[in-house]
Amino acid sequence: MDIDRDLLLLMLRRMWMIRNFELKVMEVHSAGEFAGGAHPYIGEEAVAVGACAALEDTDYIAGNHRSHGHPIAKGGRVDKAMAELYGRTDGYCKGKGGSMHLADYSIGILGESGILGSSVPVAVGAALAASIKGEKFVSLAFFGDGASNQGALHESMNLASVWSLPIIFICENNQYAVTTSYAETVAVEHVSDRASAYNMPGILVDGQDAIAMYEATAAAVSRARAGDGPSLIEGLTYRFEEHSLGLGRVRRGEYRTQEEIDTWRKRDPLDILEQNIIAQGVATREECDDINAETAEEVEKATEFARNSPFPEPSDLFDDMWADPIAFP
Amino acid sequence: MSTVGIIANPAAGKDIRRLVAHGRVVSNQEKANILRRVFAGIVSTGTDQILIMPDHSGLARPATADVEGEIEIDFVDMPTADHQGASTNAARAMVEQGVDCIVTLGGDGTNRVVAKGCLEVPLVPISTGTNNVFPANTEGTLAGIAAGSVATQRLTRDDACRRSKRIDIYIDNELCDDALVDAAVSTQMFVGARAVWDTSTLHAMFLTRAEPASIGLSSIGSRLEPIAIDDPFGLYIRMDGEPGSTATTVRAPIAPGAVSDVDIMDWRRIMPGEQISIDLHPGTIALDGEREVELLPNQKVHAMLNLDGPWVVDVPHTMMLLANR
Repeated sequence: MDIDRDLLLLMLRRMWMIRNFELKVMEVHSAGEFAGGAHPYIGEEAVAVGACAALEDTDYIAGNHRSHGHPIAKGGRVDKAMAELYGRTDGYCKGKGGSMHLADYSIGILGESGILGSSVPVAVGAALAASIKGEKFVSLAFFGDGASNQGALHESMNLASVWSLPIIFICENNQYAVTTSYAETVAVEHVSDRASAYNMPGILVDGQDAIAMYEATAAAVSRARAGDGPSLIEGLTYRFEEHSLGLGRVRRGEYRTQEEIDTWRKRDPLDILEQNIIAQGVATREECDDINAETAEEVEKATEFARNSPFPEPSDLFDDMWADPIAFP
Repeated sequence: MSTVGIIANPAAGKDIRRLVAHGRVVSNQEKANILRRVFAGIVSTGTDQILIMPDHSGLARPATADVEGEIEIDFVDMPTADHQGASTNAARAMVEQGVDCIVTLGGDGTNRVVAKGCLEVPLVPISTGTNNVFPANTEGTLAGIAAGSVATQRLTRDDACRRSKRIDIYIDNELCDDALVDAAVSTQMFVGARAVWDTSTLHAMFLTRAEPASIGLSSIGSRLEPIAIDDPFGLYIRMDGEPGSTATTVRAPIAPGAVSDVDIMDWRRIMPGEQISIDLHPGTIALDGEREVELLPNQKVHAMLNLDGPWVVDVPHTMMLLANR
């Protein structure tokens, strides 16, 4: 299961794409360029990118409210993502979904949701489709430590195991549900400990190390494709920024110490991957810097694309729905 | 004052070997139960104090609440952390505070990091990890009695213990890291998910011991020449390159639930102090089952057997000595 140069550089590119996308989002959101919430994924890039590097385009993912990293990690387009955040017609959902609804079925991105845990059963549904159709694609659900206490997740894990579905549950444990510490609200030491209750393997991985996440997910994908059922992978990680842009309005005092934040910032997933590949002679410092610069430029262009895209018309409101709500009494 | 230290690794036994092999799962609830038994055994020996490594899950707290009898229970004054350095720091702090014996709960990996800090203080390793050559499947109560008997000096260290060995890894002639059981050189480029489970990636191995009844990479050596914890030599096995005069193939249980045929190109005993160079790049060295060291360009790397590993309490032997008194 060794990893080749092309894949390593693709992982680095996608991690820089997420980082630069999120930095830009923070900049333009604070400048008031678009409305609504957004949840920066900075610090957690290795989890989504390492996991998605083990998938094919034909495999599915479903993300959560921290919603930009997962689709970019799966190969989603940053121009359509940014346009969606700006609420413009060129966005992934024609500007009607916003930050937490970036979907592209053509490459297996089922979308995200602001309701904790609610996208997990959607991913199980995709895995059920693979099982019913007898096809080899797999499905992967991202959720956080907060959602690990949600009933929808537990029902999903149980059903996936009962039916031996080809799904990988990935908990990105960033240790805080908004401002609540998982250590105070999760009854087991690690979320991965819960796997045994559903008769599936659960493992704990360094979520700051993209290569570790890739190896673990690749092993779980092999199991799933072979018909051996679901797995739970917990990537231990950390959110470098606040829960969401604008959290200052609702925060009640400090919930993380500066020492803790500083300790985790020293384990920046981009530094870890770059140090690894430079030390082993896979790429040079200059090549890594070029990838950073190229992705930053692509994000700039995506932002201009979003700014120049038109808003949807009020008359577009009820397009793309399963039923016409006006027809109901 | 007689003191037994407790280092229970809450993260032991949770790595990728549950996906790629059939590594067992010991729940933290069961680890807490094991600690209850250990504490009962320690209390029965009249030991004065139990000194515990804190962890943020509070693994030991339920057990401390259930202790019956006179004993002082304290936690090491240190921050909790979710990385292996915490166990090394705890062992160092315990040595500074004068513990007489340390009970560990974990696998080979846990004991490797505890050994970095415990110096001459004997260990009673209880297996709750994946590969368990160093720690034994010891019943907690008996482990507690053995630890307490050493702490209260009913038995001397020389009576109760066997001295284990280490494989020291040097990079550019500086000691870099060590293994208690096996150092496996792998062609995998990165530390990544740490475990080594694909024997086709093995380049060479250094073993301090090779017991036929063990699981893990050291079992490969046991098919060539069984070696005990305190035999004054180790084993070097080469899996890559051209076959030598001792080339063979062995079938061994290289991980829980995984039995593999492994091609050996060459093997021989190694003696303490003998330097054996590791010429591979890119690659990694797995120490006691987990990739820890990345082999980088232009490094001079060698391995050496060291007979000064940690002292390990032989629990069955200790119980026999106690019974005969």
